[in-house]
Amino acid sequence: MNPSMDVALKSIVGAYSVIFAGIFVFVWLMFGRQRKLEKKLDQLREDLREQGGPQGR
Amino acid sequence: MTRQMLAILSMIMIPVALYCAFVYAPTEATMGQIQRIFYFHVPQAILSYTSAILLGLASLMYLIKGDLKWDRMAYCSAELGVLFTVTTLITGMIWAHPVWNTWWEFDARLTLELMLGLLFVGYHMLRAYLPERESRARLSTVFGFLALLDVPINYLSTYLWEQHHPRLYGPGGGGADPAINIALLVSTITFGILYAYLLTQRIAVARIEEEVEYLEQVVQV
Repeated sequence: MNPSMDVALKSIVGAYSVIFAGIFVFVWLMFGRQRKLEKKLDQLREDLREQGGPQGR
Repeated sequence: MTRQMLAILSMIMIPVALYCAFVYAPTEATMGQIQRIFYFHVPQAILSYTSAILLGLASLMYLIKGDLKWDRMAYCSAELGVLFTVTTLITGMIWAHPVWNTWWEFDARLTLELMLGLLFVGYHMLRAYLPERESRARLSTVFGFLALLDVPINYLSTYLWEQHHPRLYGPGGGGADPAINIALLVSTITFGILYAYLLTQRIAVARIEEEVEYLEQVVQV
């Protein structure tokens, strides 16, 4: 029930690392996607400007 | 502006929560140091429930109002649901291995949390197979309601059935030292602020996704 200090510390570091790594990966993927989409959006707006269509919603 | 404030506030609060978990909170008498996983594991579980509640309510609002902004909120909270269910399960397993001598027990709380995670994943899998925006939004609400239904059963499972998962608060729970409660409250508030930031930021990205989808259709026409 009461594991040794060494095991406890390893488990604590592991658990907290999983949480921060998970959040970091989520944020990294989200911002990566946002940058890619913004680039694509600018390209599409440019294409529409050339066609003389609507500029988005 | 609000989003930036939430980001800054969560950056400030994370060291405070770590301080409370490792310095302010006393060492628990029965489990010793390993109990400190609890201060971050419990907020992850609360946020997985929050995601399911938001997903279910936003799905309901979409069916009532027919406004796609509710569908957007639903799938953004389901994405966060995947993240927080995974962190809840993994941190729980890391705690369980030295304490229970096993990584996993099929008791009600753990199984229902796993089911909740699978419902979030199933929600996104279903959406990926439905190309039409309206039908995608309408049909995926089923998973939203199932996730919402999972939450009260999951929460009450420790009171309804005999199981391994510790019960600290509520009927039959032993309660905790006030310092433990404060440390848990601080880390829950911290992760709540971080969650609010992640959700609002994800919704902002979802708006761009929808605009790109719309303009792609216009360009094709």
